[in-house]
Amino acid sequence: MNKQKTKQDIILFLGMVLAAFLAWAVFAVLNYGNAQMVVVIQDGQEIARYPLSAEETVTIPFNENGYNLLMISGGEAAVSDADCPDRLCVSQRAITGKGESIICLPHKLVITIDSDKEGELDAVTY
Amino acid sequence: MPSPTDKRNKTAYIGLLMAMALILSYVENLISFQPGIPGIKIGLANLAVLLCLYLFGAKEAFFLTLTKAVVSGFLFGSLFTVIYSLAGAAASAAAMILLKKSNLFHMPVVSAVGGIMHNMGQLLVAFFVVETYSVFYYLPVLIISGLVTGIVIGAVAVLVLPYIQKITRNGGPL
Repeated sequence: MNKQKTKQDIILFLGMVLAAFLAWAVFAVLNYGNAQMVVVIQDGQEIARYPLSAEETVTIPFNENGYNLLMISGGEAAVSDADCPDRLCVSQRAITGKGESIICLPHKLVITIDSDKEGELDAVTY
Repeated sequence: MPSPTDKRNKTAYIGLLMAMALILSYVENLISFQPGIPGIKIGLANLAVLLCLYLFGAKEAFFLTLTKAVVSGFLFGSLFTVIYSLAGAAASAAAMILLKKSNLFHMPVVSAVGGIMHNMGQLLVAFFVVETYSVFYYLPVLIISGLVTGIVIGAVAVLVLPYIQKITRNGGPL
């Protein structure tokens, strides 16, 4: 083991951990607020918004036949059923906090939790 | 100067590494590790790419990783998987090639950056598909997971490499 290299290894390693922490911090700051809305975004367009406190089951259509079944219950939002090919959205865990999201790539669908203030995050980053 | 035999041997070894990459992808698919966050995977096949990079060089490793992404994508996934894998593979290979060339870091760290860049490449494609910034919520988790899996794979490569080098130098079977 080359000592100089090991030192550089450690520096780069710490740099990457720091990058992860910074990314997390930036997101935490951007999302600071009372985030209590479930936002449904399809193909980059927001198509619906529901309060996270609601008890609701919504079918989100995709093209003619496709669908994702969004279930909001007990302060959690999850996709309980879908007919996308990989069904990764169904296996993702329920989201409860601001900034968390469920993503269904085949259906170009993002379900995320946002603050009450409309599109605050988008205003900052677009 | 490499003799014609060396060249033929190299082609055969890269073919074997390719087979190894595909089998590792298959094994990874069997394990079906689903922590509930999209994009996290072990990246076993990166072992073959890493070995190729240190045994033969940048060009060979880049070729191997792109071919592996296309073939394993079609074998175990869909067209979607191919696009994601390609983005991840290209980013990861490019990063590892540069870091190896710089000769500043040991293999596990090179591999870790490769793992992170793989996730970054895929995240970028995901961003272009869904056109929403919320995908970047997973950035920190994906950096850490790429770091951890990359270091583990890199450590395995450090242990395996000398044995394979012994064989490739003598021109025997892998």
